[in-house]
Amino acid sequence: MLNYIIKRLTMMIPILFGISFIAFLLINLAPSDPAEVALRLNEIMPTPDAIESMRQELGLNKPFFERYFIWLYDVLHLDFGRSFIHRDRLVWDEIIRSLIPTLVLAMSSFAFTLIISLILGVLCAIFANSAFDHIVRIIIFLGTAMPSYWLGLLFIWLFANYLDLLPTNGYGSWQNLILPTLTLSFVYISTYIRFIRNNMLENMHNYSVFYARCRGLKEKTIIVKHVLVNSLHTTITALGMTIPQLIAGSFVVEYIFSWPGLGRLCIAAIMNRDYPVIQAYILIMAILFVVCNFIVDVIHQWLDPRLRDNGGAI
Amino acid sequence: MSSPLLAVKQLTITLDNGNKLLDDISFTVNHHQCLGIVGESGSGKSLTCKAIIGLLESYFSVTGQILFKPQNANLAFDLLKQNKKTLNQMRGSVISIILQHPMSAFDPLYCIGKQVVETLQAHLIINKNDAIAKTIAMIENIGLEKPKEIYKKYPHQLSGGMLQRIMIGMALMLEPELIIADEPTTALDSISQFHILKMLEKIKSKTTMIFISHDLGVIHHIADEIIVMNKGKIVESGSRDQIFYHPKHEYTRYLINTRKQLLNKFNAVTYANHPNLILETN
Repeated sequence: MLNYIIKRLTMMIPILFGISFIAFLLINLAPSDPAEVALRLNEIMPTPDAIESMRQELGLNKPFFERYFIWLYDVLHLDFGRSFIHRDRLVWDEIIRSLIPTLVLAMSSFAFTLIISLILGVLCAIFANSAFDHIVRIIIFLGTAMPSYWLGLLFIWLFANYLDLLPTNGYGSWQNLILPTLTLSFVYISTYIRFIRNNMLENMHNYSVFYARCRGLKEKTIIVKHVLVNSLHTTITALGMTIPQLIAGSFVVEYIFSWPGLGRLCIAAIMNRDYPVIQAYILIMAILFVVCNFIVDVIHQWLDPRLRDNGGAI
Repeated sequence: MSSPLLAVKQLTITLDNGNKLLDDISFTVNHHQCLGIVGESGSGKSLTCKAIIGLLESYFSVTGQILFKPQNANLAFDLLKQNKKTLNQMRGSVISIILQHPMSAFDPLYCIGKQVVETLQAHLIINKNDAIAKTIAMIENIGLEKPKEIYKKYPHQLSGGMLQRIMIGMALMLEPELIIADEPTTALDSISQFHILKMLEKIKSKTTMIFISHDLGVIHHIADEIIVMNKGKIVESGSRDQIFYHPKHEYTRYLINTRKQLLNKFNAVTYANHPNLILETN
């Protein structure tokens, strides 16, 4: 197990280098000249002289690889440079400031998704094809069919305008958290209920479950220990990758609920072509995906003895 | 012999679409007897078993009676009329089952020992340490070395033969009145088959068994009484010698002849130069 973790961690290093290179390359492939963009954003006339001095200031006159290594060196010291818009603000500070609200939203959505989909998924599997299962299925269809901006607006109308229970937007209290969490997790809940339900139904026909019945185990033991745990296997992979998706994908929801998170920061950066911020955003998201993927794999190893013996492959 | 342990009467299993999968099956199993059920795949052998242990899927409709009279009961009761809870309590303790595919019968995520312990705890009032001690003793009894290590092994780390032994050992632990062995040797290599058969032969003297197989050789070894099934019907039943040496029904004769031909071919190829080693043909 420890060997596996060390092996995976060492493998992550080249992956992260690759990602950093791609993040840097992509921004450099963008058609507009960063120096010109930086000037325009600060409302300075982009004369050839001004552009030249800006290029000097941003280090854009150096060769591509030199610039990459300088950037990489800075990044390793958590220095992502300064934002083009607010020359006095460090990108890192901006990111951290928005990361916290995003993490709060992502974690609450993740917890909500996990609890609701586990409960409903298991119940739907146990009472498959009952009225309950059908009702949940209808809700699931609605949940997957409705885009989150539409769902968010519906929730605002229902809970804030019509019932006047919750605030429409803002950040700071738990009431503010409810509607964005509901909106963000709805799609995931719909997916995972279905996922857990179908996996469990499939596993109920396992030969080992039949044998568990032959051994006279209690139905509860069979469902929880032998059906559910075996079904979580694939669910964990998907769920683990949901965390970075929740962080990266909260764009729309953050916008609707004026949630001061990373998504909003990134949209603003894209609109303004604030390259250092976009670069940092891409890199951090990529790292999040890699790290979550790693954690999921470790959990898998821990859960499945067959993986432990084969060093990661069934 | 007073009343039989198990009496199946006019058991008929029908699918939703009216297809009869079992048609009017009747047989009895006496205490300390081994009944062999023989037939090709799809003949309804396993389905009969599933009906006895109450694990038929709900889309089957069942008619008939399965009367069961354990030693401590005064009257026989119909297994088909028992509720789920009673049947669940009986499975594993009063009626034990040995299955065909030991490799996939255990849950891959738990070590073998834990799965035996959970079975014990489902039926006995026993604390965990005692259950573990009992399990380790069982692993030792079935002739596996290093029982404590085996206890911690996961199913994929053991061979089919070992897992089958554990399954048999587990079936015996709760001292059932009836053991149903559903093709227990089919999925094993011939050496494991031999060991498992020896093991089952020993068990036979202590308990009542229903032994299901498509392999006549295996059935010949172990069964006292035999029923031959084909397409959901019993075509012939009788004592072992009767079935093997004086088969009445055409289908039984066909099964026995096929086996003989196979064996002759095998002998001709394998022992062409060693006529004294030829296997006994039944």
